[in-house]
Amino acid sequence: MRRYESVVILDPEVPDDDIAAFTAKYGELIKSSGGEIIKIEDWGYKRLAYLIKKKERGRYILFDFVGIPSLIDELERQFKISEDVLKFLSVKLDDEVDLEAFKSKPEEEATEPAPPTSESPEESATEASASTPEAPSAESAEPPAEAAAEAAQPDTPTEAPEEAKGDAGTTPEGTPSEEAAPAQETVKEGE
Amino acid sequence: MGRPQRRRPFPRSKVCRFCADSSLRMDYKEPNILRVFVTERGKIIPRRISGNCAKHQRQLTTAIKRARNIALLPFTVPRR
Repeated sequence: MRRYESVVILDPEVPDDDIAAFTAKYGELIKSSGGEIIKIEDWGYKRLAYLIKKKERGRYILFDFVGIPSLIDELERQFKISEDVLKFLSVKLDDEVDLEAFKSKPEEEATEPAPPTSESPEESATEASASTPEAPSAESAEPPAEAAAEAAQPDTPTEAPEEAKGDAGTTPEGTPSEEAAPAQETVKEGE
Repeated sequence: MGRPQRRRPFPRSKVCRFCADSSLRMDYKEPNILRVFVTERGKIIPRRISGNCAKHQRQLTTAIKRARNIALLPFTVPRR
């Protein structure tokens, strides 16, 4: 048995009733193949980073479950058939999972599987996902040096990189992080 | 008026932020954390600038690529 995680993006126009039916249907599918659902999360509506089927928004559903590899084939086959599914991504979290452990204590599932493989990054990160806010405000609230410099830079000398590549050349990506004198740099470049 | 040394060493953060702060989780489901390591155009910031260690940079790239796949991060940000 393996532990998987599937993120499914649904059409935003699908009514809530159908969402419930959708999760129930796939929950049933997982169970019928001998798997077990650990959790199903509804992230609500999110703005997509790019258009999918000409939609700007999508509804995100996360399935966290245990199952056999062929279950994924079946699950993805059905996702592909479904009209409501815009896109999906399935990720394997863990290779060997003791199914009984989840069945016996369903409350602790989030913390339980961490000990065996501490190397796997997604493993421990699963429970943190629910709290993600939709607004990207955290990005501006993250002050650390190079990120701030990165953000501030590209507005002013947009034409600089091409010139810089032309004669200085060596570090095209190096420029963004020098926050000291980007303006001087461009002037010098121009002369 | 060319100063001879035009390529001054860029100030790079010396420590990997994921090593320094274990509470900082790298997860493809957390676009707000990943967005720090991506340029405005949506490119992944190289290790020599972000200062990440090799291990975490590897994890980061997969996380970013996964996030792109489910439209949490853009593949590209087109110029206006």
